[in-house]
Amino acid sequence: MLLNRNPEICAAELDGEVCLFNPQSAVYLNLNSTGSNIWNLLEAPTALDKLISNLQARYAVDADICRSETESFVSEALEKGMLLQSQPA
Amino acid sequence: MTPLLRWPSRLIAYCLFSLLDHGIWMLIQLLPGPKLLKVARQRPWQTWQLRLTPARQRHWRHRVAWLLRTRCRRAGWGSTCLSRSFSGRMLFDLLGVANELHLGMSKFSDGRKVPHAWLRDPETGRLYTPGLSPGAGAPLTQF
Repeated sequence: MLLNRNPEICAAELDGEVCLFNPQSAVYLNLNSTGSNIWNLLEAPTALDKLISNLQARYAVDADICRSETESFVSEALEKGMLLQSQPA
Repeated sequence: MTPLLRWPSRLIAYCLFSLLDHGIWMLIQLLPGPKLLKVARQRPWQTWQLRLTPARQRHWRHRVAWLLRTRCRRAGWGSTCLSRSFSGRMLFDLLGVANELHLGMSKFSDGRKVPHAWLRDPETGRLYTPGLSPGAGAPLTQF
C-alpha cells in the first residue's frame, strides 16, 4: 500500500513546521518538525517501508522506535483524513 | 469629514452588530465544524440579497466596514475572529458586496499556534478584519 497526501488538505509552512487544515472535517493539525518532514517526504506516493527507511537515513534513531513512531503518526493522520492509502499501479 | 453614522444610530448599529456577532459565536459553539464550513461556503442568506444602487452599496459597505473595525477593537468574551468575520460576511452578502473569508494559522510570540479567520475584499485586497501579522502566520484556505 502506498501512502499519499489527501489532495483536499490545505497545508502551509509556518516557521519550518507544517500546519494542515482539513476542509471536510474542519480540523486543524500542527505538525512538529518530524511530522513536517514526514509530510514533505510524502509529496509523491510512498510505501510505509520506504518512508521509514528515508526517516532512518535522516535521523539517528533506533529502527524499532522509528517504525513504531512512524506507524502511530501515519495511523493518526489516516484517521484524521490527512493521508490516504492507495494501491500501487 | 462627516462621520459614517451619528449618535445614537452609531451606538444602536454597534449593539445590533454585537448581538449578531454573539449569536454567531454561539452557533459556532453548537454547530459541528463541517456543517459550519458548509454554511459559510454556500451562504444560504444570499437569497435575501438587497438590490442596491452602486452608490448605496458603497455607502453601506463603509458602514459595515466601520462596524467590523469597531467590533474588532472592542470585542471581548463571546466573540472570536471567526464569529466577527462570519457576521461581516453575512452583512456584506446581504448588501451584495464581494468578500472572501480566509482561514489560517497564526503564531503568537510565545510560540503558540492558533487558528485565525479574517475577512478581505477580493477586489482591493483590503482587510475588513485584522489578518495575519507578517511573518507570524500562514494562510491555509479561503472561500
